[in-house]
Amino acid sequence: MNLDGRLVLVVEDEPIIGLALEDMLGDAGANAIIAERVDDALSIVEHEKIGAAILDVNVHGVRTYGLAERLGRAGIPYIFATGYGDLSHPTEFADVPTVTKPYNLQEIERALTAAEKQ
Amino acid sequence: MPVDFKSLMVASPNPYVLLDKELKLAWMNDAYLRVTGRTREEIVGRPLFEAFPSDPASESHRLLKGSLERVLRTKQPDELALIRYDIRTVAGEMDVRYWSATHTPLLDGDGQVEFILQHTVDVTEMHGLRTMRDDMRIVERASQIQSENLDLTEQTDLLRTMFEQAPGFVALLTGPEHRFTLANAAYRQLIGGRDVIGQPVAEALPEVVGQGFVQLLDTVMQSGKPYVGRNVNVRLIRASGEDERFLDFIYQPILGPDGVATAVLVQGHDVTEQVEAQEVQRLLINELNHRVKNTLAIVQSLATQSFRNLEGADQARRTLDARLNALAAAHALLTSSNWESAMLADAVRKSAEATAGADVDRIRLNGPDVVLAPQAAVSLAMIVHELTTNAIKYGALSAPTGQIDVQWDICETGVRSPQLVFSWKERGGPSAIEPQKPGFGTRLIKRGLSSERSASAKLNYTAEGFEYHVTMELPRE
Repeated sequence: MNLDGRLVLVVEDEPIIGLALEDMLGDAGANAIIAERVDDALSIVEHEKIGAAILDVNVHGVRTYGLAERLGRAGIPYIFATGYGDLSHPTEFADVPTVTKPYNLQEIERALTAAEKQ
Repeated sequence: MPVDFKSLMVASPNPYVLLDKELKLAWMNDAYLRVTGRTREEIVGRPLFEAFPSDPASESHRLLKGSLERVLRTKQPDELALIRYDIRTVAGEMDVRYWSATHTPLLDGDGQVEFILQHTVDVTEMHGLRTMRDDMRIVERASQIQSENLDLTEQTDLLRTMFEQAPGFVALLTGPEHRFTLANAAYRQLIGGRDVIGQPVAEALPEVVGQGFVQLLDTVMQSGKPYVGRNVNVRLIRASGEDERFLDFIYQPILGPDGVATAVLVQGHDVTEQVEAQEVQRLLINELNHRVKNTLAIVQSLATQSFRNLEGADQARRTLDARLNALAAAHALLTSSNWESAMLADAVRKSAEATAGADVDRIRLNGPDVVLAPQAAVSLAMIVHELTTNAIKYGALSAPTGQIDVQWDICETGVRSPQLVFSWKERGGPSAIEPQKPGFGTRLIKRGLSSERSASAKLNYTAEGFEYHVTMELPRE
């Protein structure tokens, strides 16, 4: 996926990881918008023109599958990013491209490209 | 044809006696005299318990008196299905006799009890029962008692089943030797199926004596106070040999009317599996902590190696090193609480210490006890690290007399969750100047605390020094 000029929603509750991802995406020419909570993310999806999204599966103990479903309906390509233990998703999200932490820009780009094709 | 009831009563083969309300023998038929072996002159007009004396403390006396008093009180007939009431024979000996009796009140014009008619049957000779059963209502009385007994039996059976099948172990130890009076299935299973009923604990379970349990039982009996044990380690002989179990249990003294303990109820659960699971979990957490620390050390080594031959990378390596140290300090703090929580003051102090070393003395901490969730503790530690680093480079800690005041408080706002207000105020150093291009540290500080609720941060660059204020909602307890 060409990230240049896209607005990418990052849902991540760990500020340091969020900042690093913001920098990575910035290097690829994208603008990142970080949400630490699911309700903030939902409000961003409502009001901003999001071009892609990267979701941590578990933010402050809340799963982001509900948000994923909302993104799917809106036709916004998205991927999951996880630490450990969240590699198996519910059936309806089984095919969503997933990157595991720690990740780099190439992995993110590759996963987003796969998500765009789905 | 008019029926003469008095003649009927007089001639009846059934013994009848009429008592007045003082329980004096007012009238009796011949059958009554025959069965009691008395003459009318001997007993008529005399109080019942004088004519037929019995020990007032005996069950016979209390049963008979109780029945008659019930009739006087309730004005309802009362039955004594079976009562032993001994009769003095002509020879002056006490003759053991069993009776079945009905007491029927005879009311006067005002509805008050005037007389009690006692219809009594000597049931001492059991073969006599058969000949009398039809007209004496013996069978009916017996069946009434029987059905009451049946109810009691059912209830007793139910209680016994409940006791026997209770998931926890239950036993009753009676007397100063703690003799087993009862022990349910779970208890018997606990002690390896040994038959202990009737035996003192010290004999039934000799292995527990040396473990102090008999002494404990003695104390409970003497003090009359229960003993509650949690996760108590007990070695018991079972089929597999001596076995170590962990028990939650109570020794509950059973007190008599005089307040002195007569028995001890033992009740509890075998929690060995839980204790073992907790132990496994503790080992896993220790292992995990060890691995996390190791991983941090490996990352640090990798960074050192990667930067080693890189021109001008010294500063970057030192920055990374310091950040990893702050992170490791926060992890060490959380490890000590099994990653449950950390105190805010500890998180700030450890991080500042890992960054500023001895200069941590110039950072004054002031605030109430606040418990932070692990993620909030780590993000606060990382923020404090960046604040301290900046203070060393550009702020209060770059001047020999500079100081930092760290204050926090909890604001109760009523409807909303309590707010944590945290401030960092540098004084005695150079004037603070906002950086032209904010680095990673400043961006992290601006982002504020990682919080599942809202958080906001404010940075002030003043002539007196740098100031930082952050607030976050704390989860309501």
